[in-house]
Formats: sequence, C-alpha cells, structure tokens
Amino acid sequence: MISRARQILIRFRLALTTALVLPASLAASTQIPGAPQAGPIALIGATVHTVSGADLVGGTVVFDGGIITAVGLDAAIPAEARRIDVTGLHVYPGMIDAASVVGLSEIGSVRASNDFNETGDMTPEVRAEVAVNPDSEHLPVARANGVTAALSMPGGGLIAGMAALLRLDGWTTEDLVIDAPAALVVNWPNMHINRRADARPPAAEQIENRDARIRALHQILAGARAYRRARQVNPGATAQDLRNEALLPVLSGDVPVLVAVTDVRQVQAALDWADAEHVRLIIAGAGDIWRAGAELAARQVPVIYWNSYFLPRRADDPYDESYTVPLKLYEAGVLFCLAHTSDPGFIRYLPEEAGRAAAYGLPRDEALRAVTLNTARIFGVDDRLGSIDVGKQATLVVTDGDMLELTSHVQLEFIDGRQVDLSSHHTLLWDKYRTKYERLGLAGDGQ
Amino acid sequence: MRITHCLAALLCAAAAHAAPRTGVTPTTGIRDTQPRVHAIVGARIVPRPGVAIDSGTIVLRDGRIEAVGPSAKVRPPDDARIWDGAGRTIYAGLIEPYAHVGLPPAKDQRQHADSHWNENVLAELRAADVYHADAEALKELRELGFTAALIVPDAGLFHGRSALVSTADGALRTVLMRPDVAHHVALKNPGTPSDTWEEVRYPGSLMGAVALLRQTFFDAGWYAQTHDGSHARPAAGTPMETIDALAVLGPAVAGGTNGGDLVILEVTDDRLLRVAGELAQAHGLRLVIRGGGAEYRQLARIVALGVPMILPVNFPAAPDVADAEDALATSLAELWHWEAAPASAGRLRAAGVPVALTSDGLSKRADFPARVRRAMDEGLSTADALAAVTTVPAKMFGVDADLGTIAPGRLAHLVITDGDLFAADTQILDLWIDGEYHLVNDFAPNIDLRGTWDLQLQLPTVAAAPQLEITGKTSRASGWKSTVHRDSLTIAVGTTRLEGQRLSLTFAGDSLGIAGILSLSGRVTDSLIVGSGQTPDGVGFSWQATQAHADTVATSSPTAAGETDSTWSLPALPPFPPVSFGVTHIPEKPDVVLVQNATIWTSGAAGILQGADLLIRKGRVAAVGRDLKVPSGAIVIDATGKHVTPGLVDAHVHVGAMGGLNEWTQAISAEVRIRDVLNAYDHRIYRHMAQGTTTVHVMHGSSNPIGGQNATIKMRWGADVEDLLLEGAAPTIKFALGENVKHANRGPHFTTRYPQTRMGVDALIRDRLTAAREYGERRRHNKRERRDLELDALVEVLEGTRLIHCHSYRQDEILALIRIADDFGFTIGTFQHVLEGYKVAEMLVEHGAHASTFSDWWAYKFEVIDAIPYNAALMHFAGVGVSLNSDLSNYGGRIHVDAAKAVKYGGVPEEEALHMVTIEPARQLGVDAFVGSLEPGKDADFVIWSASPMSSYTRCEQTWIDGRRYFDLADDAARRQQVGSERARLLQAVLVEGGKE
Repeated sequence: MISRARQILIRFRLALTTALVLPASLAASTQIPGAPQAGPIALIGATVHTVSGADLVGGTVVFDGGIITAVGLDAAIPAEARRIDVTGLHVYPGMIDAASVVGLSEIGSVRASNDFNETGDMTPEVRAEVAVNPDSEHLPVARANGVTAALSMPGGGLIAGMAALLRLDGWTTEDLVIDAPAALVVNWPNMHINRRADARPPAAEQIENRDARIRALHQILAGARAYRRARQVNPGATAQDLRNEALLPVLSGDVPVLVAVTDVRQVQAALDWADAEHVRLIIAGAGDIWRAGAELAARQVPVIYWNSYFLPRRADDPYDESYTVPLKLYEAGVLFCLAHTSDPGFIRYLPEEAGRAAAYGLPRDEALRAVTLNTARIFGVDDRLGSIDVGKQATLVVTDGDMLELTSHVQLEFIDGRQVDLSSHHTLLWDKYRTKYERLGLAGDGQ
Repeated sequence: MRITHCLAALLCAAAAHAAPRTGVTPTTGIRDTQPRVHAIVGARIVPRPGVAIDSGTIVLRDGRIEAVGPSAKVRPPDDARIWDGAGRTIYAGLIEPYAHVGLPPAKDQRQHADSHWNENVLAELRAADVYHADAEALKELRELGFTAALIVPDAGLFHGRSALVSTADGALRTVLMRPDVAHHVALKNPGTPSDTWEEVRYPGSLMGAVALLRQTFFDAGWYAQTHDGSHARPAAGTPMETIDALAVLGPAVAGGTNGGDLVILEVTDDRLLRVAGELAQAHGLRLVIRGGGAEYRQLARIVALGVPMILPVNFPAAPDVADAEDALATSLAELWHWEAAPASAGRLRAAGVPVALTSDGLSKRADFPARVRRAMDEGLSTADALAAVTTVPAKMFGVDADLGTIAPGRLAHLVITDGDLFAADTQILDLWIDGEYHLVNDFAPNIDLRGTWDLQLQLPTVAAAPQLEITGKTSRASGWKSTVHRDSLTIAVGTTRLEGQRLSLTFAGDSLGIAGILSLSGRVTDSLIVGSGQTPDGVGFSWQATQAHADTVATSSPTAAGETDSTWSLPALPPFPPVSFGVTHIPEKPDVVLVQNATIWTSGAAGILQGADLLIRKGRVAAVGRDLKVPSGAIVIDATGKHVTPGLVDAHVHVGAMGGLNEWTQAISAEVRIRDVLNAYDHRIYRHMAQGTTTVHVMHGSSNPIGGQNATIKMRWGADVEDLLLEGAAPTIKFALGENVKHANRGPHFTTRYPQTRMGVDALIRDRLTAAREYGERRRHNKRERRDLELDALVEVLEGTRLIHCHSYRQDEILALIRIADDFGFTIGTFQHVLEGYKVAEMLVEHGAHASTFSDWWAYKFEVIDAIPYNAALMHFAGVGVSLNSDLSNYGGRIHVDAAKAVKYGGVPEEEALHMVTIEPARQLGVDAFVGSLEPGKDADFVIWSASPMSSYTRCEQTWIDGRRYFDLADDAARRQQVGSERARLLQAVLVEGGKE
C-alpha cells in the first residue's frame, strides 16, 4: 500500500526533476569546486527569503560576477542571463556556522587527523586558515545542507589562537578564506569555586589558580601594548615577536575576541576584562549565558550560542532550557547567532537547531537570522554576506521547502556565484549501494 | 567523697587498661588483688531507654552488675567500695555499632585473606585476627561514652567478619567480647586502578559489584554442598580449589549450611536498597543494613524489608550559597537532602524500624553527640537515641544478655555523665568497662558565670569598680568571651578561664589608667568571686566580684526534658524522586479518555488518520477512528490541529543507569545487569519523557565483546525501579564489535587485553559461546554443577530466549557475527549503530536481524568513516526492520527528529519513518504486543504534538503512559514554579542557619 503522503512526495519529486535542468557536473563522482561564474544567472519564480527584508513570493534573484545585481518581484533579467526556473522552491542566503573546527579535524578519535589544539596555554600566534584541509569530507557534507560558510577555530589552552571565517568550497586554503584572522579565541577560566570543606584543591587554592589565569589574560595584553610602543619608539632594539604581533589587531579593535564560556560568572568576568582591556568581545558558549542577557544587551556584546541540542546544564533547569536560550537572548535584546561546535560532522545540524529554537518560541524570522545575517554582522561581514541584497555576494541556497525544516532538501547552491557540487562521500556511497540493491532486486522506491 | 573520687582517679591514672580476666598470663612483680566490688550510690540511673531512677544505687561485683535500684531499696554490700553518684547520671555503656578501628591498612587486610581469586572477596578475614589496639582511636570512643565497639574490616566488598571488643586498651585477649559477630559485605562500586590494563581489577562498575555479590553467595552455597570437609578431594575428577572465603560464607546463605549467620550489608546509596532486598531474598540472608543517611527517601521499602538499620549521623553541611551565582551550583536535590537528612533516623523509628547510630563516617568523631542532638531536634526521641547506642546494637549483635542495659547479671559497662546524655552541656565523666573504672573528665560543679559582674579592684594606686561581662553560647567556659566596661570604655578580656572553681582573667589596664596587662585569679562561690591580682609592674592586689545579674540566655538543651516537644513537626518529605521536578504522586488513570479531532499516526494498519479520535479505557487503547461517540464520564481532550503519535520508543539509551555503564574490566561480562543499577532519581527520565519518549532500552556500554544484560523501562516519572521496568519485555544482552572492544582508542597502556583485533573478537565470542553450550549440557545432567551467572546468560542466548543487541559499525564485523549466530543456531536480535548496515542489508534480511541506527552521525571515529545518513533508508527499502535511537542523552528524547531525517535522506515515507521510532523499536525490544502503536488493546502510551512530528517546529505538548498523563505543558509550568519557590525557601533556610554560625 502506498500511503497518501508518499504519493504526494513522489508527485513532488517528479515535479522537481522536470523543473530543474541540472548541469552535468552535479553528477560527477568527486566534488570539484564550482567554476567561476561565467555570466549572469537569474533564479526565477521562487519564494525569496531576503532575511534583510520581506519574503518575495515568486521573486527573482539575478547575480553576475559573483555579486547580486537585482532582487525583486519583477527584477530586470539581462538577455544573456542563464535563467533557472525555481518556481515552487525557496531561495535563501547561505547559512554560516559561527563556531566549528571544520578543516582542522577530520575524525575526532584519530589523533593524526586533528590540527586544532596547539600545545601551550597562550598561543595567539597560531592561525586556523593555514591548516584547514580544503579536501576535508566535512566541507561537501555541510554544504549539501545549505551551510556555505563556517568559522573554523583553534581550541585548547587559555588563548587558543586565531579563527578564520571560511567559505566551504575552493581549491586551496586561500580560496576558502572569507576573513582571517576573524577572531582571537579565548577559553575563559572556570570561575566557580567549590567552597565545601572537603573540596580538592581547597577553595583558597582554587581562587588562587583562577585569579592567576585571569591575571595572565591581562598581562599578555599589557605585554603586547608595551611591545607595540617599544616597536614604535625603538624599532631597532625591539626584536619582532610573533605572539605579540598576533595580538596587535586585537589591541586595535580590528579583530574581536571570541570568549568561550559556560556559566554566568565567566560572562561577567569576561565583560570586566574586555572593559579593562578595551577589546571587542564576542561571548560564545552554551550553559547560562542568558542569565547575563541584560548586561550583554546593554553593552552591545554579541553572543554565539552553540550546541542547543545538549542537555540543560543544571539539575534544576527546565527540560527545554537549552532550546529556549535563543528566545531568552532575543527577548533580552542581545545580538546572537547559532553554531554547532561539538564535531565538524554535525555542522549540518545548523538549520534544524534554528528550527528547534523556533519550535520553542523564537520567531521564525529571528531563527533564520540567527544562522545568516546575525552571524555575518557579528563577524563584520554583513556588507558581503548574510542576506539577499544587491551588492552582496551571491551565496545562495535553493531548497524544496522551508530551509529550517527537517525534511527539506537543498536543490541548488551558489557560493560567490559559483554553482557548487552538492554531492559528497555520503551521496556517492548512497548511489553505490542503491546500485547493489537494484541488482539484487531489493531497492525500494526511495528518492 | 571528693577525695575517694580523686584517689580512684589516681589509682587508675590515665590508663584505660582492660579488666583482668581469667587466663594464663603470668604475673610479674606484686599481684594486684584489689577487690572488684563497687557500689555507686545516689546517682540518677537510666537502666534502659525510657526508664529513670532519680536516686539509685548500682552494685558491681567481679565485672558484672550485681544489683541496681533506688537507693532506698538497694543497699551497698559491706565489702563494696562506695562511689558518690550525686549529680551524676548513669547509663549502660554505649556500643559503637560500626567502627573501623584498630585495623591494618586495606592492603594488609588483603594479605590475611587471599583464598578467593577476586581481591574484593575477603570473607575469611576475621577482625579478631587482625585487631590491634589503637590507643588514640579508643580514647576518642571512650570520650563519647562508648564502652564497646564492633570492629568492622573495610577492604574489598566482602570485608570479612567483625568482632565486638571493649574500648579498653590492651591486647585482644583481654578486650574481645565476641568474635565473628557478622559477615560484612558492601554494596558499592569498589573502583579499580585504571592506568594500565595490567592493574585493572574486576569489578570496575556498580553492576559488576552486584554481580560479584550474587555469584559469591551462589558459590558459597555450592561450595558447602560439594565440599565435604576441609581440603576434601572428590574421589574422581579434577581436584577442587580450597576457598576459605566460600567456606566461611556457607552458614550465611540459604543454599549453604544455613547457620543463620548475621550479614551486615553496607548500602550507603539509598537507591540500592532495592538490590539489598533482592539479595536478601534470593540468598536467604539475615540482614542488618549499614545505611548512608538518606533512608527517608526509601521509608516504605525499609519498613517492608523489616531490616534493622545502622545509620551514620554525618549530615550534609550547609552549602555555601551566600552568592547568588554560587547558589546556582547547588541543586534543589542537595538542598532537600540538607534539610531532610537529620530527620531520617526519627522517621525510621516512627515507622517502627530498629535504628542504631554510628559515629563512623564523621570527619570528626567528637561531633557525634552534637549530631545525635540534631537528629533528636528533628524527631528522634530521647529514648530512641539512647536505644540506638545501647539496646538496639546489643540485640543486633546478640549480646543483649551482656550489654545495652543496666540489670543484674549484665557486664559492668556503664557511662557516667553530669547531665542528660547528648545534651549540649553534658560531659562524659567516667566509664566502667568490664567492671574497671575509667576516668574521662573530672567532675566539676557546673558553674555558669555568664552575666554581668561588679568588680572591686583594690589596686595599689586607686580603687576601681568597673563592670565585667561574660558571654558565651554554652555554660561551659571554653567558649566564653569577656569584656570590662568602665564609663564608656569597653575592653576585651584577653583570657577567660575557669578550671574547677578557679577563674582567671587578663585584660589591658588602660581604662583604669594603668599601662600594661592586669592578671586576676579568684575562687568562685555562688555569686561571689574573691581573689588576688597582679599589676603590670608585679604589685599584688586583692579583688572581688559580685554578680549584678545572670545572663538571660537560656541554656540550650531542648531535648533535656525528655520526649520531643509536641509542637515540633517534621519537615515535609521531598517529592519522589527527590530531585527537581519530582512528584508527590503518580498521575491518576481516568477510566475513559477521548482525544478528539487530531491527526493520528497509529503506527498500525490504520496508518495516519486525519480528524480522528483516540479512545482510551482503563489505560489501554479502546478505539481509533473518526467521530467516535463520547462515552459518559469521559475526559475529552480537543486536539484540533494537533498530531497524536504513539509514545516514542528508543532502543538505545543509557539514561537511568548509574555506577558505570561498562563492566570494562573483563572482555566478557554477561553476568552484569543494568536492572541492578537502574536509577529512578535520574532527572533525564523526566527530560526525555517531556519530549515524547515513553519506552527506552537502557543498555550496557560497548567496551566488551560480550557486555551485560540490558533493561527496558517505561518513563513513569515518579515511580521507583520495580515500576519503571516494563513487564514482558524480552531479556536482552549487549554485544559489541570493533574499535571499542579491541581498545583501539584507549591509548598506549591498553594493548594487551584479548582481543586487540576484529579477528580476536570473533574468536573470543565463539569460544565463550562454546563454553556456554558445554556448560548448559553439564547443568542439564548434573544438578550440582556450579551455577555460573555469566554462562547462564549465554545459555539463554543460545536457546533464543535472550536477544542480542550488538554494537557494530563495519560490514565485515556484522557479517562475522551473523555467521557465528548461524553456526551456533540462534538469531541475532538487533544490530545497534550498524552504520555500515547499508552495505550488507541483504544479509541482515536473510538472517532476520533488525537494525537500530543513528540518523546522521559520522566521522567521530575511524570505523564510521563510511557512515551515511542514507543508511536507515537503504536498509529499510531492502527489507530490514530499522529503528532510530539516541544513545547519547544529549540527543535523547526527540528521536522524532531522527525519523524526519529518514524522510530527508533517502525518501522514506513519513508514516514509515515514524515506525522507526515507535513500532519497530518496540519489536526489537519484544514489547510490540504492548506498545509502539495506537491499536486497540495496547497500552495507552501516546503523545500530543503541536504540529507534525516530522517538523522542526513541532513540540510535545502532552505525554501519556498507561493512560496517565505524565507530562503536559501546564503541569510543567507549575512544577517550574515549585522548583523556584522550593529553592528560594531552602536557600533562605541555609542563609539563616549560616547567619547563626
């Protein structure tokens, strides 16, 4: 018996195959980076989710040279444009994962494949963009679910290093870079003191350790300032110092500091630190960041909220605590975005995490912003990315349904106007074994 | 009188040596033939709990009590030495029921007991063999009034047997009162060293410990039946091992020689009391339980067990919540426990449970009286408190003919105080142990100088009359502070000391115009102090002080008057489970419930019904269809616009298990059972249930080729473990293959456990199944064949009554296990994870195994490099029964999301995708006859969703199990408020108490 739901689905799929004329490259067996845009392209007839403004039902998006040239219900389409009829589909700006180790880690448990944790407590000099693997299997998998960019960041230690914002398609590391350094990554020290009589180490020692680590965070910047001055007034006698050089753009405010936290104490301490050091702060993490919502909003410090799938942090938290943090941040007036850091293999969870935040009260358009425009704003690339506006990069995702819905599929994707391959190790194996079962007469009627 | 007293003190000096006993020790020097006849007269005597003689006499002769009674009736015999009892209260000597005193370190205890292969089984160890007087610890015990103590060995899990000794110093032969009082066994995870494989010891988990206890009790019975005499050798066959540990346990177990030996089981985690009861029942143990202090949570169970309890008084300290952010780190569960723990003993007594109290577990043993007082403030009666350290332990240990009360014929064990036992100001003065006198504190009249005194100082230069103010919490001088006031000046007194009747003071002379420190001393009589002093330059003067008025602060001895204050009431018990969102009762089960006008996903033959109704009668599905008639009395739920599905079934979780998910110290651990370590207090049960999950398979971990037995439970939040277990579920066992079991990711110190390769995994599983087959044969033919719990479980696998759920990734290992099953003639139940199942789907179909997989996990380790999200769809379309599971609790509760991904990746129709989280996992757990679909006759386990369960935007609004509504949004909102208000109330209480300190 074929259910009604399945009948509808099959009809819908047939409609799709007739509507889209896909270029031959999509059937390729390896993922070749998209070719530079050769001429104008017009996506015609879809619901265009601009994010910056209202949705356009039956709208058109035109782009040329990798830049969006027209958006509207009756946008002018150049005669030479390649016209792609996407009627009934949806066009979105590409999603951005605001925190990941994409390209720096292939398989978590295989040490040889990990490049995100340099030894030492303070390693601001290490840069993510020089070590990401452009041929990592994680790029095509994330891309296939509509994630077109991701922050790849070092981890470990107190100051982990410099993160880079990457586009998820390209031949070389340099092709991938959207912005680098995009942020200095700091793991804020644990602030909670266990004051029980039987605490080990005892409370006094915990306080001493904690304060020493915070002091170290002040001192490294004080040292960098002294270095900067010495290089100005006495360059001949001041040898170049890689670590201090790395911190100069942080001192100048050109590069923000992404401070990873889990509890409200850490947020408060990081705010105090940033005030004292005059650095640009981004708070990132899970747990109870929201408890500092009012302070964060008042100081206009943005937040990257990650791993909303995880269990609530505290035993007394409500069951849906992790899902409702986005709503709480939104209500507090904090500029925030979402990320999934736990493993690069899970970058593709980004749209569903946004969707679940909406299920638990966040307005849907805010959920969409939290994976597109807000992220771009937080990293200062909203002049180029995050929404569908004339002049921005043509990084676009075409889906057969609401992009944040679990069951939607990405049908077409462009990064800087380059149509990218949506196949992956996963789809190739799928194809391979469908062939096996077709030969055995066991293939079902799956898509 | 005072002189006799002092003389005796001199005679006995500080030594607390043991009483002479009849024996063979030669005398050196002059014999001591002092008559051992004493009469203490004129004392208040409490011969047993609840009884008092205001002025009585006790006669002791040759170490025993000869007579006791009112002084008017009992005359001291002529040959007795007379002791003045005026102002003193006499109790029977106290018994410390659980002391780890005078024992060698654990590693040395192990050397005394190594007959058993497992170093946690030291049953043959006798405290009487290893006890060596520890003068300091014994003095501590005596200072608390203990004249006897049960010495409990403490190494391993089967600790050995305890001995009752007197607390006098001296060799064991002079203090031993009763050897081998009880077998001591601990129900806990002993832990294992874990830096390298070579040092790892079984068991390394709580469930492993329970299994070792069960196996050892069975073995004790078997050993007694097969081993006729020490060093016996059967006439034929392989000689048997000689295992003293098992021989010793024989009289403790029903299967053994049935001596009815006492077993004292240490169960400090109240969640394990269920297991304790099961052990007692299965092995016929005569139990006493040494508890952990949270027994109030399991009151009904303890009453039903009918077991006496030994309870510690190490109540939790108030958490530090002075700072609002710090307070967040303290859970409501901790706060409730802080409030409820001191009342635990009182509650058990009120329920009729015999309770003994121990000072064991206190960081400072000297806190014992204060903690007992706290328990008394919280409902333990004076009589019960006394009984808890006298009559109850005496009876427990079978020594009530000798100890526990003051009566003719009992041993002369007495404790003499200057007030009510355990009252704040009471001091222990003397002890009598086996008829020998032991001084603890000199008797001193209780002089309370607190208040205001007018000083008259006859200073050489000037006479001064300042005021002296003495303050303090108790009437004891040790905590006093004094100040001297003159005009508007206040001077803190440096020293305030009262020894006997002599008071000493030092303070700065500034206010009197004298530079330097004045020192004063004087004798106190009634409300007058007369004495002499010295000026800073060494000139003497006389002084006196008269009391202007006494301090109005009442002495704190709330329980001194006897029984509990009638206005006192117990704090409300925390909910069950005793964690936030716990409940006070299980939700009710309405007779008839009608859910109307919903989109109903039946997961049955009826498919998905739009605008349909679901009728529930007495907890079961009665009908599903359109326009059902509303039965009278039905509770009607309008579900217009909502979706209704069966409760979600998750075939792979670890929620609700405690004490380690893996018995990882052995490669084969089929004997361990998750059901032994189910944790009904796990708040994740609520969190998962609130998202629509109603039945889960709680699994052993994946560290072993053959792991442990799993448990299938329903998420009946608020029920204890018996009621969580889903009756009728198929017995299952965890197997595992690949990287985890071959220690591939464990680092360089774990390269020697067999197996290290997939080849070895295959060989090991084959070997153990072969062993099980042979064992099963032997058991069938020989009733005396030793029962082996590990092989028992594997025999069930071979017989097809226990389903294998096997952790697996790669196609080669999946196929290898299928071939093993083929060769041994059974069918594998379900491959878990099975991320390369899509490569061998036709083999799964052919063999008949099901698959339970993740929707889209990959790349977290090397063996999942080919994991693809199309796995579920490929297997499904090839005909495999596929379920989707969460495994990690971070991902738990919302597996409908995973079902939606089977739609996304590979195009499984939505209705069939929902089967993957409802009826199909139910089949895999053998519970599809009860749950997994909404069809007449099945349990009314269902979820009401705000939108399609396949949507990102859906939310579980109600969760029903057995026709009871366990979750809905409104109830949850109310519970959040309760959590908030309870937290606020208790944080206030902590702050108030902190302020007092």
